[in-house]
Amino acid sequence: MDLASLLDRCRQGDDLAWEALVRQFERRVYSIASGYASGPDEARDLAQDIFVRLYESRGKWAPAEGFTPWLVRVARNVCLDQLRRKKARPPAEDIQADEMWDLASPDASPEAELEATGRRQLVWRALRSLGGLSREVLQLKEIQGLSLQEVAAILRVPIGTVKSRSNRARLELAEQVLALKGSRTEGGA
Amino acid sequence: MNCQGFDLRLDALLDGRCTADQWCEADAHLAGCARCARLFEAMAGRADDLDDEGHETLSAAIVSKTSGNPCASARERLCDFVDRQLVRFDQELMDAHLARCPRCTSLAAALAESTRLLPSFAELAPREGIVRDVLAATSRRQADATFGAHARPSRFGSGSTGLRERVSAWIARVAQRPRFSFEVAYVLTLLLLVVFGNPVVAFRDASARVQPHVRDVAHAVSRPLANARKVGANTLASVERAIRPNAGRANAGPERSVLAEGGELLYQWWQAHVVAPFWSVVSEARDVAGRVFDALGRAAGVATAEPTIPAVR
Ligand SMILES: [Zn+2]
Ligand SMILES: [Zn+2]
Repeated sequence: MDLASLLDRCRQGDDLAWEALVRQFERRVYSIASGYASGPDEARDLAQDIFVRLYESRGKWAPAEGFTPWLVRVARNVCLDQLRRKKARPPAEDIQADEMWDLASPDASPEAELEATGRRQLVWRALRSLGGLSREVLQLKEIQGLSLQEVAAILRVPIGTVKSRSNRARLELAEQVLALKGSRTEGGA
Repeated sequence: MNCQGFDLRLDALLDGRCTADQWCEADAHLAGCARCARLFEAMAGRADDLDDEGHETLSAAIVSKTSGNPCASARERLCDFVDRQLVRFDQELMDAHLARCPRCTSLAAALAESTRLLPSFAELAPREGIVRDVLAATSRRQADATFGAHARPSRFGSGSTGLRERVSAWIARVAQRPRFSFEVAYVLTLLLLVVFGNPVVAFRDASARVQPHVRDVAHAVSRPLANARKVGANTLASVERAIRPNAGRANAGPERSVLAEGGELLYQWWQAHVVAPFWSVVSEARDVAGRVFDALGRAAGVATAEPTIPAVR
């Protein structure tokens, strides 16, 4: 479906188009929300808040060419707002929520999927063990695939800073993956 | 003297800037330390008898003495290496280092794998789809946006909404239709006529007890009704045009059809009961609409007061 037409129809108040848009971006928005959430339930709430905010600002949407980076920016702002609001309240019970993320890759064959899911699980756990700054720059640049310029605009830092921060975060992630692999093989032996 | 002390003095030894005492000290250490002996031989250009392993440990020793641990430098270039962004020369330097350094090699492998997998997290499936909840939340918001800030639901998904909210939500959905303004002018007038016979007298003595309740709903429909007022004239004119031909034909001849007769009657009725009262009704649109909803509410048993519906003519 052509995104530009879809956005136009949404702006005109076509509820069917809005539904299609929500379906198209649901997983992406949920993924962004997951970067700021302590668990799947909170990510789900955040994703809903993001869509509600999106809906309320229909008149001010970015054009189709720049829609995804713009959406990422809006999503991030909503998440940060909600987290700021939540800071006043004590955090909900901090269960080991990592295992509850659904990381299955639906396209792969069963055996390939099992292996792929295991590897993704490892990277995902490593990712979630990183600090907020590292996680965020990875989410924006490596996961959502935004350009250095786009990430710099969102984070309001120079491009060089994004580049160095991103490289540092990637190395941290790789080291964390190695550490988790090590602890896994030790535990298995 | 230990190895560190020897390293510090190595340059001075090679340049011949040492005292005899310092030479003796160094000699004593070299006699007992193969590592420093090799290093000294190599630096002095007399290390031709080294085997591969010897070269390896020697190179490592030299590097660590001079530039320090090279892994930090390899780490700096590792991301670009994995991304194949290095110029060829640096790429070869990295290849050479990785060939000798298992630690950096495994880090590079982990980096390459996580780099490959990260984009697969761009879209994640929530365990339960959120589309339905989002649509429910936003259509509710749509109602709020239409009717202003009041009566916002506390949290999406809570199903316990009163009749007033449900009526408001329904009106809000209806109000999104393009022809709503046209329809509301027409339907509201007809509704008032059907229920009360005459919309002007219908609410002359509405109960004061329900006023606060009425004001809320009246405020809610004020905007659609403002639109209705705008198109009201057009509405009346077009309905008149629709009725006129029949009314005209009614005087045309002996073959007065039932339709023509009906048209004549309808036109007179329209003039007397709709057009004349319409403008006064619209001018009091807020109040009237509020009371209509109040009447609807009472009919559905929301208000406790007995309804006092005026006699239909
Ligand atoms: Zn030594
Ligand atoms: Zn190394």
